[in-house]
Amino acid sequence: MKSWISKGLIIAVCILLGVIIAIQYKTVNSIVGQGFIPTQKNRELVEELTKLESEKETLMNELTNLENKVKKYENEASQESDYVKELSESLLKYKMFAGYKKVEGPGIEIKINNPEYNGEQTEYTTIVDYYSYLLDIISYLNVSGAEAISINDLRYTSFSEMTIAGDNINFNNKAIGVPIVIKAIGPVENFESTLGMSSSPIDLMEWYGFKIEMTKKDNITIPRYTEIKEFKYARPVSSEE
Amino acid sequence: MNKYVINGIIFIMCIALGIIIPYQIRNNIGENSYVPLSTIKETQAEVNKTKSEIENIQILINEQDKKLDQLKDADTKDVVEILEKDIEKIKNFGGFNDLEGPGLILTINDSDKKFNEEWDDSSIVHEGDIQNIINDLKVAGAEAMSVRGERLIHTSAVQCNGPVLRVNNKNLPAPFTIYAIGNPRKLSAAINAPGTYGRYLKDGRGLRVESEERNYIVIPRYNNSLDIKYMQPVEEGE
Repeated sequence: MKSWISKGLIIAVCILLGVIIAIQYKTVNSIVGQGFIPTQKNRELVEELTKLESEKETLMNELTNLENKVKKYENEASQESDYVKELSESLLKYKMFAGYKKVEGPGIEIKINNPEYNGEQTEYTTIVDYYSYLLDIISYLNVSGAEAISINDLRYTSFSEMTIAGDNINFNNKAIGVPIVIKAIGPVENFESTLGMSSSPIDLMEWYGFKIEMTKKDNITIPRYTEIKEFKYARPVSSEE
Repeated sequence: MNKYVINGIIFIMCIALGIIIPYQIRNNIGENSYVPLSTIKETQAEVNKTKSEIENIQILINEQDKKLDQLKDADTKDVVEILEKDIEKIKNFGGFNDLEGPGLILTINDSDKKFNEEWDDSSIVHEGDIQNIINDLKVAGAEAMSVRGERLIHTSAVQCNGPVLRVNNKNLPAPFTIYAIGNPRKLSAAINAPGTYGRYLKDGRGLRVESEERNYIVIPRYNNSLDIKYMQPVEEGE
């Protein structure tokens, strides 16, 4: 009788151990991938990221090289024609304004981090639940005279939208994560004044526990918009000549 | 006596195995630190983002290559043509040209409740409401938008100004008529489907929200001046 009980107990414990180990293995695998251990996977991802970023760097350089060559032809034509020169300058102005040119200038950099989790909260507060405050910040920056804005080095344009995708905020169709870095070129005193106001979006977010740093910089670089845009529905109004 | 010795030996061996196996595994991995799974997800997201940016840059490079070929044999007249076409293209995207196409006309108005003890300002339209609706329309593919005839571009901020909203430096009273060019059905769903912000404004806040799908609407260009005071183009070289 006793041997049955003890054998039964051992079997029960073994089954329990087996189930626990299997669940643990599956959880880690579903996030990390088959046969990998997190440290290894992270190292591989970081290596891939560095490789991709340097590839992007090279391609951007190639793109600007080509654009410079195009510019040279346009400049030669400008020498011969004032009208071409005017057109070139006009094109540059529209490009800078609409977001198709990398720009630099004095401005402000806002870094936002999630609040620290203190063990008493039942829910972890993240920026994902408060993303409309990011839109508010952009609105304040625009009203204060911002000329160019970027979020995590993605240019803000008339087509930029913000949505939630899973655990992340999607901006310009790409997932962005913390820290969220908003850069803006424009009148710095105005930015500080409106965003520093009581009950500004920054004030409200800090109340919720977000860690926000605002630094003014003499020279901020904001990249160009890299999405390819094609109108599918809109077309310019055809004017009768 | 024998049974206890055997059991004791098995016991010691099991403990020894339990110590040796993890030690071996740890050695094989090398690092003892465990990287939080959230970091891995973030790094993966960065990788995906950079990959898609690379694809886009590749497309831009192809465009420029083609343009360079065109310019090589071009004379001044051709250059003028090319420049004028480029300018029109950028003006279309930037909001400096009138645009037409199918889309949605949306009207948002304050609720018509009169002031009483229970009144709070949730029954009027706030700038955040318009901002969220505009964002939702963009997500649904709106290619151009205007509020009461004011074209919305990236610097148009909708601000509260007492009884009116201020857009593009103009004061606009309610009702707020929003025109959006895009797929009429998708745009309509973005405002009217259950769970959307537009629905919440109607059902939750009692605002008057009406929308109409249209085959043809016209949205005017942005007509404020283009003053650039702070930003400079970055001349990038090799």
